[in-house]
Amino acid sequence: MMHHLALWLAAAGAGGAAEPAGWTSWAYVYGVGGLVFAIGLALCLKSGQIDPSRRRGRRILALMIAGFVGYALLQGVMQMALPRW
Amino acid sequence: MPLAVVQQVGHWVDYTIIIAYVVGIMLFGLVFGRYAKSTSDFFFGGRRFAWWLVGMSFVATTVGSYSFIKYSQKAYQYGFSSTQTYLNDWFLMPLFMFGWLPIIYFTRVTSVPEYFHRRFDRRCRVMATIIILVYLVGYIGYNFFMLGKALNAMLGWPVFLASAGVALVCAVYVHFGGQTSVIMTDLAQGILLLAAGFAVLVLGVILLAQHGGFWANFPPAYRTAFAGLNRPAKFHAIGVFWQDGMANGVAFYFMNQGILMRFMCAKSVRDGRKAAIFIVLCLMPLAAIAVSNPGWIGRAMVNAGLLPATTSADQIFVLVADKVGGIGFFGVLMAALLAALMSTTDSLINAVSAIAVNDVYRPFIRKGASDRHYLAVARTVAIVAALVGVVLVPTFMAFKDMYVAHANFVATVTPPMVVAIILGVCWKRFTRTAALATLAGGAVCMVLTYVKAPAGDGMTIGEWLIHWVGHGIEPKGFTYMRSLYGIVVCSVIGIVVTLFTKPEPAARIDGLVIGSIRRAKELFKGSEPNEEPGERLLLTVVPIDRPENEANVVTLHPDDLARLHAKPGDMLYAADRRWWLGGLRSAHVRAGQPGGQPGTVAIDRRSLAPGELGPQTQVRVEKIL
Repeated sequence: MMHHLALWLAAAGAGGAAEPAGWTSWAYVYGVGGLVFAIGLALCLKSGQIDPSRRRGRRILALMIAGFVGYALLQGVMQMALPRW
Repeated sequence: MPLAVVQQVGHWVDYTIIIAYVVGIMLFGLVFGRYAKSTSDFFFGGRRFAWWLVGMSFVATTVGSYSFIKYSQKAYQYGFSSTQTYLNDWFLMPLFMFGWLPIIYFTRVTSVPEYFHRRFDRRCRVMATIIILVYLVGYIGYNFFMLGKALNAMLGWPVFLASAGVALVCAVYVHFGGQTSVIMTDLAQGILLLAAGFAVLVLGVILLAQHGGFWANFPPAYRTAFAGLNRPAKFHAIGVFWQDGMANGVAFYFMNQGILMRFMCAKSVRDGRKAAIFIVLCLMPLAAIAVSNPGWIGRAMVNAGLLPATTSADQIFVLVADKVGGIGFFGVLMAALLAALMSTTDSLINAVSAIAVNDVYRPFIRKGASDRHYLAVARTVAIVAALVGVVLVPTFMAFKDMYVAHANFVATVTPPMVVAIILGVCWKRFTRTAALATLAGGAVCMVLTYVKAPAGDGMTIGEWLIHWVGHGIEPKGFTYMRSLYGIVVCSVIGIVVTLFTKPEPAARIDGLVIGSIRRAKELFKGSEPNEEPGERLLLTVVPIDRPENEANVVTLHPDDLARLHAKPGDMLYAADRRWWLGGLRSAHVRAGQPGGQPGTVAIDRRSLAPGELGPQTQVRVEKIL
């Protein structure tokens, strides 16, 4: 217990993170960032740069969405699970 | 506050490693001087490189000497959230990969100012040239400054002299080898800086294992992906998102001439996209860990009692390196810092050279000269750019917080450009008058945020302007929010002025906006694009002699053409079968009328020479367009 207390005090004293940041940061970044991503993807689909009627287009679309979801999951786990591990 | 000079300095093994590295990388870069025979070679490496080479070069360019020190500092103060800066890029990938990249590649623009000239007009080109040159040269100076500080801390060398020495090495191989030297040295330097960063992590974890372990000593509050939403004032998730994720991210991928030239070196748009995916999904996370981990290790060391609790953030990289490494490792780490510096500034120097020649010298000072003349000018400008960067070092010495200094510089210069580029690419209605208003008006609005005169409510005029997008952040945290303010203000200016001005004729902007990329492909190829996927074939080169105007036309057997799904006139790419050359030995050619023997490709000797392909060489041939 003293070891954990020392860790908290050291963190507060260093002027850095005083307590774990919650889900709001993740939600903001992926909400606003997700909007930017979605607008970009929509423009690509509308302009025909990504053509989901073709196999290559579907693969690209899947890859783009998978990248977004992958990052969201990675940083979500870091945000919510690692401090409790 | 000067960085502390550590004790483990100056062993002859370390100095040997440092000197050997500097000499070695310079000689390695000079080897590729023979590939720079034209301005196209000097600036774009002949547009021949493979995706993985482009990707590694990108990361080496992105990770500068300041990166290790800056991100270790933030990592020490705020933990894993220091990685947010490097992990924001995927949001921009659709627009970059399928909008900006194909536009600049297929329209063969050599710079962002040139795009501005073609999309808008000459006035926009002039403004963009000034802004981008300030951005690039400032970045060069900042890199030199950060390395000078590190060398001062670790070896006791004077900051200015250390900067000047490294600048000389960089300038020499860029002068002789151009973009090919940049890319090939970046590959070596990228591997070194990632390896050194991970070596610190491994050694730090091993050291901490004897004192309770890294994880047990790393506070839970430091393990999150993001800092607090809008506090602390000096580092918060909202600010990092807008400053680094949006403004800096768009500036890097859409405006940074060095980065753009990297993607323009790719053998095709498809390889450029593969490079982007490789970068964002694989290399950037690795780079984030490599540059941040000394701060994490340092925080754990403080809690384990291995470093004093009073250790300050700007000393952490140097102190951790001192703690974990033995004789020789210190030299490797210094070599990695040098690698980080040189791999960033060589790209910037080459980029300044490209803009100076293509956007200043060629259009305004001497039109219609030979390519050989412009190549000579480019080489000279490379030296001058390095010199100017060194002269800027004292300016950066005046700022206490390195990250804030860099953020101020980027935040002020980039929002007007970033908004003009994005609106220009995505919105065909966006007019030239609106673009000029965005650049000029946006710059004025950004400068206003530095006005210190009081505005009431305890805020200055600058703070009052920013507080409208402040998200509840304290005014001392407004440095980050300046970018969001700039994006909003410039967007409003751009949209409002557009709605009151006459649209551009559609034919004039064909190929320059996202909805007209097909037209850009037609112009690039000179005929209808052929995007049917085909095989990649292994063929044997047969040198031939063709008429002057058919020097890049090749002859393939009908069966081979069919497997490529290619027709006469299609653009092909032939590269040495040794994949690890990354396209260094390759040629861009066009399919001629079918003929010849199966399994062979008959190529004119003049097309073979630039890529050093010879008779009987086995090449992999693929269709590009």
